[in-house]
Amino acid sequence: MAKIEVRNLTKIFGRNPSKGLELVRQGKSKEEIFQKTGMTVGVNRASFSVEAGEVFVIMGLSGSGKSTLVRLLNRLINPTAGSVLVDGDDVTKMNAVELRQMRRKKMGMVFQRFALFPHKSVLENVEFGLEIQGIGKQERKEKALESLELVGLKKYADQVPDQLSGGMQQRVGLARALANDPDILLMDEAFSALDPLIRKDMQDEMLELQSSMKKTIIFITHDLDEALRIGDRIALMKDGVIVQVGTPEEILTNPANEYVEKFVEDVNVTKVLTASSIMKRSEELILGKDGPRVALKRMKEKGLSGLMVVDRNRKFAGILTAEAARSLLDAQEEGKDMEDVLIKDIPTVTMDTPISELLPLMAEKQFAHPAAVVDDKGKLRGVVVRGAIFAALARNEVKHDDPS
Amino acid sequence: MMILPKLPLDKWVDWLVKWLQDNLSPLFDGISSTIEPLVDFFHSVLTVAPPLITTLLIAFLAFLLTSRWSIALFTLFGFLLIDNLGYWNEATETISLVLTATTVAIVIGVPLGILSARSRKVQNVITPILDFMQTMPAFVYLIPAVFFFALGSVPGIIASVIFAMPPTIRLTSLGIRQVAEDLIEAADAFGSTPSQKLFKVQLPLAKPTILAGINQTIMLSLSMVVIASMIGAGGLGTVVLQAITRLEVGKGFEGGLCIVIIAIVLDRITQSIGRGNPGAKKSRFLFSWKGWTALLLVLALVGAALAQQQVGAKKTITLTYVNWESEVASTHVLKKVLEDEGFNVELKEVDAGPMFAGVASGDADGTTAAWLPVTHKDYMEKNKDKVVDLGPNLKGTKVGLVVPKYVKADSIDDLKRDASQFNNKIIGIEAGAGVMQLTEKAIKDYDLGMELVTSSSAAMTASLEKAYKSKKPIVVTGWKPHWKFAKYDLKFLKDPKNVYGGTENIHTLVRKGLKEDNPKAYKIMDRFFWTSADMEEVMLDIQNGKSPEKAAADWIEKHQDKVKEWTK
Repeated sequence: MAKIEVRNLTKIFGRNPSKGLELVRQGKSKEEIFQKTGMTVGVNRASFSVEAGEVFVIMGLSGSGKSTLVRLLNRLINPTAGSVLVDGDDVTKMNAVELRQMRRKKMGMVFQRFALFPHKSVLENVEFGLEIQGIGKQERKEKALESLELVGLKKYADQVPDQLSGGMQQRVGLARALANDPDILLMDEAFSALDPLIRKDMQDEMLELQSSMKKTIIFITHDLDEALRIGDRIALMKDGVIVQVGTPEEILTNPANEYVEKFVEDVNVTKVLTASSIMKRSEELILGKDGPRVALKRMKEKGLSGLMVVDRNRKFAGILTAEAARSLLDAQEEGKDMEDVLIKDIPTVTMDTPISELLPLMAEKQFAHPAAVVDDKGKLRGVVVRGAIFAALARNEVKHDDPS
Repeated sequence: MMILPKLPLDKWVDWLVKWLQDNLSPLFDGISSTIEPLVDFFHSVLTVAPPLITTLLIAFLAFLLTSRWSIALFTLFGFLLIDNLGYWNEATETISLVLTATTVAIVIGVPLGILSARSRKVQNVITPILDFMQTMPAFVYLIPAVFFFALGSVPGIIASVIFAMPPTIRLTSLGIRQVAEDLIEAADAFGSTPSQKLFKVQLPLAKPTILAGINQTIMLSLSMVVIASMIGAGGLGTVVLQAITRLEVGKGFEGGLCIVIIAIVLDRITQSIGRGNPGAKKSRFLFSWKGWTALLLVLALVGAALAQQQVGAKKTITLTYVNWESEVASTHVLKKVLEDEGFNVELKEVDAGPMFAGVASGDADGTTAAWLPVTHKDYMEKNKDKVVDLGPNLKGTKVGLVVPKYVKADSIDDLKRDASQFNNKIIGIEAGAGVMQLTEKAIKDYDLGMELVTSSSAAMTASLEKAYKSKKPIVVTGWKPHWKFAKYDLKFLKDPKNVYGGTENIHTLVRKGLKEDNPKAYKIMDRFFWTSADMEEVMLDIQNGKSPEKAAADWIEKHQDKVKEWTK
């Protein structure tokens, strides 16, 4: 069973929501309903499910209803219709006490403008969720400090929020949400108020934390790059309607309609595509096993002017060019083995390095050699040649044909 | 195009007030019996120690609360100045009134503010009421307050609360509504109950705004307490009011200055608390040290005051009077006599109407200022079943229209002929005075077609003096005994229609039950009797710059034999 199951969730702001609901069911658009009745459709029959441990991003322009949607999940806004099942319990049917319990135990929330209490210290802010549950002073302090340590702000515990930078404040906000140890984190444009550099750091930190915490995260953003970077799956909203749900790859390569297409066409592909998606498997020589003759023979067969060389553990060692192999053969000097003539000074990148970072690395070396792509254990997985990058850049548009 | 007759709105309000008086008196008594002790309590806290000690303590307290030397020093020197000018007792009364009014306003206002912040309905109901409360002229509150609570500090405080509470309600509501939306959302998202949200988030964040409202309330109640001195609230207001009615510029300035000092001290302290001290990083130890010291200080004073209250259970006699020179003289003499006999005497200076109402309701023990049978006829008729008339304390008074001797006119009839000489004006005194009502009647009966100018006794004598010096014709409402007859050559205009009656007497009235409660005081008041000449002696002394207390004491010194007659 999914962790969160949302069915036909609808919110209509205005005097007579039931009438608005009727119009929504007739399939009238947000615009029409507003013209007719002056009521605003916040969310229009949204349905999706989120698996435990998944980072589910809800994305859309401002006014698309994404912030309303997230507030419907923990009922800061009461839905007009539909249901939200969390672990099988319907949030929309809960009474005040059950709802409070659910908010205290299961859902933490992080806000766009941090929403830290200015009259409380950092520690008191982080304790807040525990404090209102009536947990003892000592215990809640310990938990809060743990949570602060998680985001690396333990030594700021006695400061007040105003003394911290935006990035730090948002980490406090995150720590506050984590202190209760909820299963679900709701993050409402959590990084939008930060400047781009800090924002990227925060995204990295969050992904880092997520790899150890395995929380279910509902992440709201209006920034496609951010969505593609951190989302396991993305829901794209327009006028209160969810127009597409899918993995970042699916959204990019299979936009469901014009709107999504327009939405993603400005995306800088070089940021989304990674080295792993444009690398090629490469021919390899194994150090100490293959000699220069074997190398030359292979180069001839494959029509290459150089080969990747790895050690016996498949760790990347360098590049052997045809000239170097020949010089080894010609010289036949003892004591000079393959390792001495290898070119080691080439760009080495990991599988998920975006192309945008690959480019400058290779440009530094005048694209003289391909870049080696290694995995996190340092084993060689493939190479990226200059042509592949240019091809990818040229493809920076949505493909309309079937990707076969 | 008025087709409708005039709505009898005044009648309805009168009827409503009367109905409330008859049916809700237990409620009003209950309110009185909570407020009265509170005022007394504050007052005894402030007066238990000598002024110098109290001043030092208050200055120190101001420093503890604000952490600013400038405020503490200002408090110290300001209060020393008040003491030096001789208004310490009045100042402490005023502060007690303000503290009480503010306490009541906070106790009622903050919860109302919270309610109106939480519900739009409540706000829609409260807002117009607040507008009404704030824009209604403050004097209007004094009228029903007297009906419901008689004279003294209670109606003053009720009026002050009504007048001063709106800012507290408004700003509490505003402060709570202004708390940022996302903080409220955060509090909700973590599962706060409504009361947790209120006490942990909304109130702490609204605190500066609420304190700004309380600060406004303090200032407004201070100004209202001054006005409320007209109905016997006491304190510095009385000083100012006396100065107004007697046109004593210097004294008025002194009283006003004392009020300003108190206002500035209260304002700076509350503002400072509202702002907090963001500069200093709060050291918990220091803060708690301050808090404890402040608490101990206050407790010490409170304890001393309570201890004193146990001891000083003296009988207090309350005398009420109208601020005319004649009554100031007689009341102060009687006060001194009673004090020499071991009574505590409290004076309440009011207008003629409230004076009678006060004795009738038992709120005041007595008055020596009833001019009968003519001047105060209306008031006496209204209250004659509710007061005890002890008979005259001075015989042979006379009221009427008075002109300087150099004026041609001899009788009121002549005025009609010479009206233009007098600019068609008769210079009168306070609107509520009996002689004024008689003069209105005289203008009608003699068909004078002149205008009666309302002012005050002092303003009337000042105008008389001015005209007299330049030998200009002037006609004033006058009465005897009065020092002006000793000072200038004046004459009463003949009164052939006998509008003003012949000679009158001044009577002593006491409340019902005084005889049983306090036979000794009753006896002294019953025997109190003197002559016009005696009275004019005291009046001239006062007129020539002696304080009423001093003039009364000097007269008693000179006339020991007479006084013995009263007290034996």
